Amino acid sequence: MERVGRYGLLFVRSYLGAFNLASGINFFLHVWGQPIPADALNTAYMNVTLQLHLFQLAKVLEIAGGFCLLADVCVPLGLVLLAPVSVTIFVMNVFFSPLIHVAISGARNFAFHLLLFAAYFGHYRAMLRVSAEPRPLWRPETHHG
Amino acid sequence: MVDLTSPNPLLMTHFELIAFVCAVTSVVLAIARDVWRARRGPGKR
Repeated sequence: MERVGRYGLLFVRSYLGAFNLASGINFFLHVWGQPIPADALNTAYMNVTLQLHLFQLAKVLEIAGGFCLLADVCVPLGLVLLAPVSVTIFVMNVFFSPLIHVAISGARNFAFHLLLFAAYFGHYRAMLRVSAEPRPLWRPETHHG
Repeated sequence: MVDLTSPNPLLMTHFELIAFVCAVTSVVLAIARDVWRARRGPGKR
């Protein structure tokens, strides 16, 4: 049973990684046309983010995060990088797209993202500290205990 | 063209197809590696 769970997690990680990596690379290499939303609101949002260059930034995040997940390198960091993209796509697709398969796509990727966050939760535990002392990059770490 | 405006609910975008193939391939390779290691016996890599 544990092995099945491991394979399932591998499937989810590879799927989300490859999806984002392909989407990010495609934006810059134009292998296929850029997907265009079916509704006016999402189209307007996409155009504004393109003009602000935030869309391009999102595609860079997709490439970096997607690579991390697919290559199994710095996966917790990759999930953090992809989080803004997954949340935005989730909201756009699920709540505003009139097409069911688009809504399912956004919901599926968001669910995969949440599942991976849960699976790698141990790596984020330190972030949940209520009272955190500064530990600057420029000061050597002292190990206690 | 990745057509997100198509009403066809069975439509799979290129990204979904690539992701699915990658994910299935990863799992198949992992299973093959585990089987191979199990056949070689413990302690051997």
